[in-house]
Amino acid sequence: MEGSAVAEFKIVLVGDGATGKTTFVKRHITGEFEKAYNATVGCEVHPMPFYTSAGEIKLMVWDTAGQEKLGCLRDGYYIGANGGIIMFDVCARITYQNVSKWHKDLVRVCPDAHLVLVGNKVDVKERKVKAKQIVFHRKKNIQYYDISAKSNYQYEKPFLYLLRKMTNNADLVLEEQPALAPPETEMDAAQIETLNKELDDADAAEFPDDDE
Amino acid sequence: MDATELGIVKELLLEVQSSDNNARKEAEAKLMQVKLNNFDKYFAYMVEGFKDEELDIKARVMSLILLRRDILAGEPTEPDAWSKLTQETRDYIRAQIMEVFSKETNGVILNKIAEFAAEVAVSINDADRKDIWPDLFKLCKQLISEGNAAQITSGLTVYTESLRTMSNEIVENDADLYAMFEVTLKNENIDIALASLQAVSQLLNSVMPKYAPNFVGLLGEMVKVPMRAIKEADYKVLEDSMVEFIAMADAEPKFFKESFSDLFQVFSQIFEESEVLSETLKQQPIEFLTTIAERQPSLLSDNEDHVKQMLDSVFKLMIGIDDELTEEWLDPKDPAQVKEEVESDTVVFGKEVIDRLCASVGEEIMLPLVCILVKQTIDNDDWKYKNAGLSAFSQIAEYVSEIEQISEMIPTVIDHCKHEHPKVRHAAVHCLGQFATDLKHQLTENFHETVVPALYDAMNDKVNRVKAHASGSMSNFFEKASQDIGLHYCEKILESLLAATKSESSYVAGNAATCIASVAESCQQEFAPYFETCCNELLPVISQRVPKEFRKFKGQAIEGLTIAAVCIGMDCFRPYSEQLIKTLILIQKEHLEGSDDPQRRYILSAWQRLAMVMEKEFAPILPEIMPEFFNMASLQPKISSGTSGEDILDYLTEVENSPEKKTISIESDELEEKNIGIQMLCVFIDELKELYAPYVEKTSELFLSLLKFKYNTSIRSSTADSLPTMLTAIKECEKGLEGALPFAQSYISALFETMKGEEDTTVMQHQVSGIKRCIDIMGEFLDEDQVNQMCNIFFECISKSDHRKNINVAYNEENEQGDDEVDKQNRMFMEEENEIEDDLQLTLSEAFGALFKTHKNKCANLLNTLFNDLLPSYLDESAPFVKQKFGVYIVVDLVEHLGLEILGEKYEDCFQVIAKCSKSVNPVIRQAGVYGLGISSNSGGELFAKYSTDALQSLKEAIEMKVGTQDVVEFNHARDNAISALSKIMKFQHECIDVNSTFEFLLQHIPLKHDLTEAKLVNDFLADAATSNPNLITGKEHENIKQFVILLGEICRSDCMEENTMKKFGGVLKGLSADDKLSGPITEAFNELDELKQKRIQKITELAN
Repeated sequence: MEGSAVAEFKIVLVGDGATGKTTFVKRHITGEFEKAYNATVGCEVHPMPFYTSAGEIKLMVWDTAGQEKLGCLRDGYYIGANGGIIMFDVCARITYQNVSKWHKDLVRVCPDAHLVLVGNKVDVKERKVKAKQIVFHRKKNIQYYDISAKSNYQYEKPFLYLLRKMTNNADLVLEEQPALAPPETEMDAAQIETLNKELDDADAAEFPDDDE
Repeated sequence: MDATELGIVKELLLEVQSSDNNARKEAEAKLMQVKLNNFDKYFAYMVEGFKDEELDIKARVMSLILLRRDILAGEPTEPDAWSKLTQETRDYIRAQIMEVFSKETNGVILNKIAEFAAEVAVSINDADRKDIWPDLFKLCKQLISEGNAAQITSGLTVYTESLRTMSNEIVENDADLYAMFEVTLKNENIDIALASLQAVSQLLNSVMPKYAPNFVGLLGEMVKVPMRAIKEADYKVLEDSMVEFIAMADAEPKFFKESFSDLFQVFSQIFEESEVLSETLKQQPIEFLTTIAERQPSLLSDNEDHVKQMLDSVFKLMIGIDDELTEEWLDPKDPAQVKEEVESDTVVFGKEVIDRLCASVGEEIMLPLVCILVKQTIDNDDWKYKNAGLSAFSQIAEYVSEIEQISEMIPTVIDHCKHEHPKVRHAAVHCLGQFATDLKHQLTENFHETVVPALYDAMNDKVNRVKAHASGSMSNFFEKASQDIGLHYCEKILESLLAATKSESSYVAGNAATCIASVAESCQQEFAPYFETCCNELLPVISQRVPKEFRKFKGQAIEGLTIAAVCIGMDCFRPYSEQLIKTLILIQKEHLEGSDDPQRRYILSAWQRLAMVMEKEFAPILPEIMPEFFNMASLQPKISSGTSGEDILDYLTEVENSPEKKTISIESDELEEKNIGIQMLCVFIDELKELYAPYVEKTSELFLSLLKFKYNTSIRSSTADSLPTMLTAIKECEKGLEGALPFAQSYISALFETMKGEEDTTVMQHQVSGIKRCIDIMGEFLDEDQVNQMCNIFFECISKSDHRKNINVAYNEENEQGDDEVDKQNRMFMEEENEIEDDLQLTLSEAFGALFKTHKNKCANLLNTLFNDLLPSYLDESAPFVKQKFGVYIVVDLVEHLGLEILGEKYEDCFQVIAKCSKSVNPVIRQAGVYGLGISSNSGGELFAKYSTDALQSLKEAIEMKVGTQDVVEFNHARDNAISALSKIMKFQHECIDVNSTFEFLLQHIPLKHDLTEAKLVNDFLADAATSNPNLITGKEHENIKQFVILLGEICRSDCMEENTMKKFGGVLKGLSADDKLSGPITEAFNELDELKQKRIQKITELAN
């Protein structure tokens, strides 16, 4: 890394068993979609590098067991987390009901962690938890995303949100080609900012004629 | 204590936090070993861990967390670890907690200790509790009055935690509580004020409602916390304090009642002042007020200005978006990533609030207010205003019962489909799609002339997102449009759609393909002339491999073609079938990439449709595709855990559906796949019927083996659904009813047997429905013993369901003011559980109905139980709504299926019930009642005549009733059924009523717009009446002839009229036209109709020839 330290954050991934936490992480890391169910025991930590407009950032994702009986240290894993993802399965109402328990445990251990609530498996036709019923995030003022690890729908959104919050950089964007990420990423961020500003200005002004 | 081991344990407390998986797991195992070796020692080590100020803070926190878990939550293998400790250890832990609590300086540890101490104090058994908590609270009070900031905060934390579970005791015993809160809320350190607010919030969340008013005096100071936070720019405190206010609004809305107006102004001010704040912070005051509106609607609805002001704020929020136009928005590359409405969270939030206000405050107040605001915002030149107005407008669609309420606005929306800003165009297009979905033919009938061209133009928009969304809205429109509207526009639109399928944007192409399906569905068989073009255009595209992002489009194209094939029927489809099937097999065998390839699901559904349209001709393809479906359905899903050798079921967390019922169900992709496999087989059985014969034995065996599939409830449900489907197929095979009988008998006994052991309510519902369908299919096939056995199982099922409901209700009452979010969620869940119980019970009532219909003479025992035990209590006005509903449904079924002949003297009792229900203010009960009146006008003969005047009066009242606060959909159905019942009385009991005045009344209330099944009946009655005497409709001097023509233009369409009825009307019209005096006015009226309605009139006259 040419001596430059890569920013590193700890993220815990929690939620009921079989909501798709491990599949979600694997999808990010290997691109593969895991079909079978293999319950996680205790916790598995996955280092996940993200190439962003603010340089490379490493997320240490703590994928924890959802099955209580396989929990091992459970909330012991949450210590020092900078961010948390609470996952439920939109096809299993009980997993949404339990969100409040996971949230309570997380906030107790790491009150300052940035949190995201995600409803997984939105690709499944027979959705049991309807969009209107998802109100928990409104009550607790946390971010929510519908995602699908299977169809990749919004699957990078929870991480992007956390990256932005943890770096306190609302304009941070993910770079598409990690291998090609240029060293002077700071420049890129500035460029993007300028571009965005230009767009904003354009919005504020009359919309260009050639749009029609 | 072993000092060496203590040293090791302290190290382990850090090592178990290592992100190196192996190192961490090893440390976990070692720590576990220490625990297993000697509990008491282990707990003592943990205490030493958190006491040791030299130790890394993370290790100290870990020891506290583990200790807390072990004592309070307990390992499942060792419940109640606390009681396993020796008295010595317990005393030691207690003393240490108190010591550390009084001396600790580190704020983090102090706070954790506070939480822990309170939890230990309230969680352990009573005897121990008495020892610990007087001391603890004494210490807390001391800390709160004399300590430093961290100590005061931790003292308050002890209160917050203790109030969670023992608020009533604390409030009853602690006289200083109010003063303590008052002082701390005023503390100049805002963190302390927040901690105090959190404690009060916890109190309100958990205390009995009667104690809440004692604390209302604190409200003034409480509100100052967020106000101060704004001043001090402490946004974390602002956010946290608002979260508490929202929680309090949810738990104890009455707390805010007295000073609501003042509070409203304060919160509006927070909203106003929070201009500088993030979007989500701005949402919080609105969330608070919305929560109040939901929990205590009168607080808002009593003051329309409040609602108006709130809406203003919501609109401001929605206008405040700073969404830039990104390339991703303008031209989405991967359709899998596109949500139909990609909007900023603020707009989503604003729409949600409008929706929640409509539902709580009521649409009578909301609709006019929203309309005014929408109009104002749309009139503003700024695109953000327009966007917000249109978004809000699309949200109220589902609350509109009559299009007249909003029809004035539709031209404005249409105008905006041409606005210069793409987001405005997108919002306008979306609005039209939403209105088509919610207002159905009210929109398609009245506005097709303007809506279709507007969407058509938008389909050629420059911006791909708008273009694609226009096709989406067009799909919505044609899904609800009648056949003649479909045909009217088909040719022109299709050309555009097919061109769009060639788009370089897969999103545009995909939506266009889906829209083709909707157009075909509205045209039905008349789509045939266009099918060839569709095939020619689409087949070459789908037979190629495509880039990843075009896979979904291919799927949509396959869907479009196969839906169209079903619409046009086999005769027209035959020339293209071979080529389409070849293409599908090619894609299935060579193009699919893995189980997550979006094309796969489309192909599976395509086979279903082809089976439906091709029927017998599909047989040769079966061997090609059946193995795959069998493989899917008999898949053995891999379910494992990191541990090996033991049954995974032992590890799976039991799902607590209610306090007394635990089931296990897991969802994985493989399980879903298996479920789809089962459902696919069902579709084939259903469509292919006798052709399915070669697979009957094998499938039957598979399904029976899955009835009790333990891992997943959906699979058990699907299997219960599948059995009757199998019976239909077997019956259709040469086996006939007689051949199906042994299968039916074995299915019924398997379902009876399975029902006895089933724990999941939803699965039970599927099983009951499965039994019902078996009866529908087989007719009278059970002997009296079996009927009795079944009724016993059903009655037991009802009583068990009632029992579960009572437990849920008791749980909710017990936790009425339950402590926190978790309890609130539980309560909501229990309510939902009870709704599922209600669904089960209604399905049971339908199953009884099926028995009455088919096993008329074997229901003696059932009738006894119903009349003696069940119905009297169910039909009592004090009975829960679902019981009344159950009761009236049963009674209507009795009257309909058993009639006077079998019911004898009970018939009159039943009629009385129906007559009473027809007057109900509840639209669901009323609908059943008025429907029953219609039925008994036919089956009741002279008995009905006795009551006809009263019945007529009830119906008239039901028809003229105003919607008020009733559910719009339910209300409309009740009304339509009442009109229909009126027509039945005229038909069957015309001797005992004043036909002329009743007919006049009827004419004032047609046509039926909502219950189209009843509309067909009423229209046919009208046609018969007009045939026998045209003056009934056209007036004595035919003075209403023009209105008659207009009416025909409106109602002579296939969704609300059978062809035979059209023919009758055609005959009447022809007869009238032959009259010289009338042909003039008829032609005049005809010429004033739009083209579509003229075509309808032409069609019925042709039919009459």
